[in-house]
Amino acid sequence: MPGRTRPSGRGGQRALDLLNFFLADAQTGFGPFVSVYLTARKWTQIDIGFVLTLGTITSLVSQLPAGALIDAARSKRLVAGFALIALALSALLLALLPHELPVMVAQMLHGIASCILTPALAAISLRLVGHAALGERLGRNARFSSIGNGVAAAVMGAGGAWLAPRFVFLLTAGLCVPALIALWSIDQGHAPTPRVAPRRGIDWTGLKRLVQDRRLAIFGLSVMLFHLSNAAMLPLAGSAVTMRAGHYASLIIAACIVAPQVIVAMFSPWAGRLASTAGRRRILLIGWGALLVRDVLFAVMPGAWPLVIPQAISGICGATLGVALPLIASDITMGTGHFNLCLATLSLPMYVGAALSMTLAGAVAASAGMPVAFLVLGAVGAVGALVVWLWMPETRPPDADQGAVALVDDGPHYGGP
Amino acid sequence: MRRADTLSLVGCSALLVAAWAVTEARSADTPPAAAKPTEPAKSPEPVKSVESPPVVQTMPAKATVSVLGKPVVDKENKQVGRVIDVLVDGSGEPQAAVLDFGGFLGVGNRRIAVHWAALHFDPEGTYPVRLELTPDELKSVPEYRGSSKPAPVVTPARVTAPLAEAPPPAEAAPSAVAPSAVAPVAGTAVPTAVPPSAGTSAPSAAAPGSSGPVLTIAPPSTNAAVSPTAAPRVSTPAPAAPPGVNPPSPSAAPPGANTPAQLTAPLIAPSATPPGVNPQAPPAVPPGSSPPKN
Repeated sequence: MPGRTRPSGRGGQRALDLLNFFLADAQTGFGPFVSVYLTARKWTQIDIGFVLTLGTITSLVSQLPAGALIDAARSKRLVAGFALIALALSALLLALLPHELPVMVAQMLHGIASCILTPALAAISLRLVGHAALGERLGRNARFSSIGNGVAAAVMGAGGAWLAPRFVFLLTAGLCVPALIALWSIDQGHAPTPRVAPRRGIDWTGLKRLVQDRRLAIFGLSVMLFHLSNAAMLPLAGSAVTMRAGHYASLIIAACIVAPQVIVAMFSPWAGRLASTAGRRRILLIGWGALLVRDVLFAVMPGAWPLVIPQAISGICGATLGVALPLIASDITMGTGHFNLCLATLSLPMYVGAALSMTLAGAVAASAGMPVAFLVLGAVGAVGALVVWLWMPETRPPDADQGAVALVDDGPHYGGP
Repeated sequence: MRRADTLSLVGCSALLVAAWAVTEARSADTPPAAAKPTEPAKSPEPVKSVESPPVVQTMPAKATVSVLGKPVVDKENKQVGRVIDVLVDGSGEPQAAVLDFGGFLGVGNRRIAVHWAALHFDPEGTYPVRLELTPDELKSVPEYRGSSKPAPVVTPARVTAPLAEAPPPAEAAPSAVAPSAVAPVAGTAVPTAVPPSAGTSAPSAAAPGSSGPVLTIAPPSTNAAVSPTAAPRVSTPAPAAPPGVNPPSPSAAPPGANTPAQLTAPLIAPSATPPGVNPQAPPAVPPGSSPPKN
């Protein structure tokens, strides 16, 4: 075991930056683009809906086990490495064998890999820099994932015009290679290792303690409301754009995708520092408040191009949540070794919120029109902000430097399935 | 599954697309003039089915277009969407195509239905499926929400045909009914909602409909009632030949062949569109849409 020295070398930080960048690059292809791709491969909408649902259900089901697995794993790096390979495999399957069974397998692989990679990256970050510097590090993570997302969307958009759709997935698989290299060049862990992990696969008592934590319940509720308000926004804005713009619609939508990424890239390191200095509550309030502003702007903006402005503001929401969520999870679980389990628990309200969001937005937009849908989503965001404001306690440890002490390694541990 | 799709596509293409695709391919051979723009160029193609033992016929390569999943381009070769479904009426004749329209990387796209006659097929071209409408004319069209609900179908102003075989004179009506939603610049495109019942009426039924850009296909329940349609259609072969608007009647499926009536129907019916319409078609394309914006 490396000694418990001061956080992390520069090399590790840089490698983690690159890992975030390439991983986000690779993940971009798996978004809504999958359905475009399968449509082009002569899949019917019913089949596409089925495999997409399968992917969602897989990741929903494997969240908690994945979190527990990472908590228990000796080397988070190794787990993340396997997940990256699974991701590459999934992309290759999609690219080369777009048939029923391989695509189903690919979707499941991707679902599992994603819910390992997201917490694993946070765990690796925590281990690299320690709890005290985590806020800033998470800000950096968010910055580089956003750059990765933005670049990938731009490249895919440009490439999609000239190259076959499968190019996107070949590129995705290819991007997993530099991601693996970056992963391997992160130091195993100079930082204090939070390894008070459970002895066996899933630690039920730990989970129980987590679920009973009041802070987690409140934060989970506000995360649910956040995604309920947020998830449908881009699709809704996208369809608002396609309704209003003809020829330039795809360009405007591209801007709607890239603009928030730029804002996240600019804003999230600041959000990370602010979370460390001014507290988690403040940045939550900023983020959830921005949600409301954005939705009101969406409702009143005329034309198509102006819609990019509120969409850019959503970058602020994204940056704050991207930093706050893992940070609060690490606050709550400090010293317990349940960091990843906590992250996994928080992803459940996220999924629920996101799933309901699409339904809610669709129903309201169909019956009352798009501006009303924006306002309703905004009102949900406002409720979320209210929840944070009224009930969410500050989770930042009294002395930020204590983090490093609290995360002392409890000795060797060989758990893990 | 995919394989089955492919197979059934190959199999069904005679029913679904042949009237359009094959004839286009042919007309390219024979009367070059009428080739491209003449959209409803349909010559019956040699689909013969022998009664007792099914026969395996060979369709020449590149004679048909496999439409599902195909990119759809506008006049300037810019992709506007992909074909994701084809809506046929009770007699199997394509009425509209459902497109996955617009969007970028899967964001902001939605499903819209366009009139079958608005699509032009070129099996051998780089862009086998072409739409005569521009994205600007399509942008505000309401979403297609499945065949169980009335479907708004974008229809080029010049086409008055299949959905509601509206005689051109009905021209005046549209603007009155027009929902402001769909109002392309040219004013040529004025939306009109046709009552579901009218929407399904047989081609020859001459239901007073509209020439507006948005017709409505009724839900399947009403579509089922279309069976009467079959009769008029089958009876149309005779008029179909004379118009000779389009190419070779030589290939006109030897009616003598015991081809089931339904089989010939789709091939012939479209040309049953008021003979007046077809001739106008070629010129109609440019004027119909050039005013809007290119």
